[in-house]
Amino acid sequence: MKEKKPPFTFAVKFVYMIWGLAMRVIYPPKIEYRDESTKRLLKEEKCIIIANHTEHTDGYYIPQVLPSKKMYTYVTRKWYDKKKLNWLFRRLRYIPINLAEMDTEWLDKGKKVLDGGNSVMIFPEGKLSKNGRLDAFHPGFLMLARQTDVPIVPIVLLGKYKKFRRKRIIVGSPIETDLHEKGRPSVILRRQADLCHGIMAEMLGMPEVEMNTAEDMSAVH
Amino acid sequence: MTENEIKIADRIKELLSESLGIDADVLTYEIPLFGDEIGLDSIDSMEIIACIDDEYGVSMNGVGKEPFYNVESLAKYVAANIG
Repeated sequence: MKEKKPPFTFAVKFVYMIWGLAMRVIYPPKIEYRDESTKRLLKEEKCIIIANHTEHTDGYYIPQVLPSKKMYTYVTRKWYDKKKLNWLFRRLRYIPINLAEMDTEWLDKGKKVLDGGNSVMIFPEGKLSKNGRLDAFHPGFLMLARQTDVPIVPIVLLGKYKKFRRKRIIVGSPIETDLHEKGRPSVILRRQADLCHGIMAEMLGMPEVEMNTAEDMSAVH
Repeated sequence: MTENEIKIADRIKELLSESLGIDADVLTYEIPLFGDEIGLDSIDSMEIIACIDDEYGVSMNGVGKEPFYNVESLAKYVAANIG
């Protein structure tokens, strides 16, 4: 049965669309594609988009400005459950994810979005980077990719949001990785998460940093 | 465990050995899956969920930690929820 939409969904989406147009004027995007074929891929195919996360604005700026299929963004429960934000999140394209406890609903919801031909975006660091560095990645997005065989497209946002200054976004090529390697997923996917981290660090122009190992990561995805 | 639960538990042991690379000799019905010896984590639990769904058509999304404690608890959950 089709899920019933909460009241005012249409109005909220309309305002969000206007807000998106305003964002384009206030922070005009400068999107650079490493590979032109990725432009077509994003527009025509479902993708798992991974991005660095340095400001809260990222969570609504990227879906508004990146040309792609309908994009659903993962947001942590810490933010999703805040009263006023929750009212908005439930009416827009956001999927809650609980990083503190065992949560598999985000995976199920992500699969449904991808099954419907749409894309998802996730911040694999699982939180804002306060020091500008790219923190270690949670491998959950790779489990989603493993179970759906949907390509992973890395994007990086450079610099701060400054009014009426172009915001630079680099879109990388889809990450080629063998997610179906035999063995324990927690080991394989964490290794692949490090590989993805290396690719995005290079896109950001950062030297490879020594990362927390999988065992050091306290959160679960 | 009932006869049916034992049958399910044996199949779950096979599935976990195949998909998670756990040594079948170590994997008893009672050994904690997320303890030091087996050492699975939440990413592996997603693989377990996918295996159980594929094999038995039982969805374990959002069920909490308890059924994942060991092979026996998984088997009991599957037996109780199988269509």
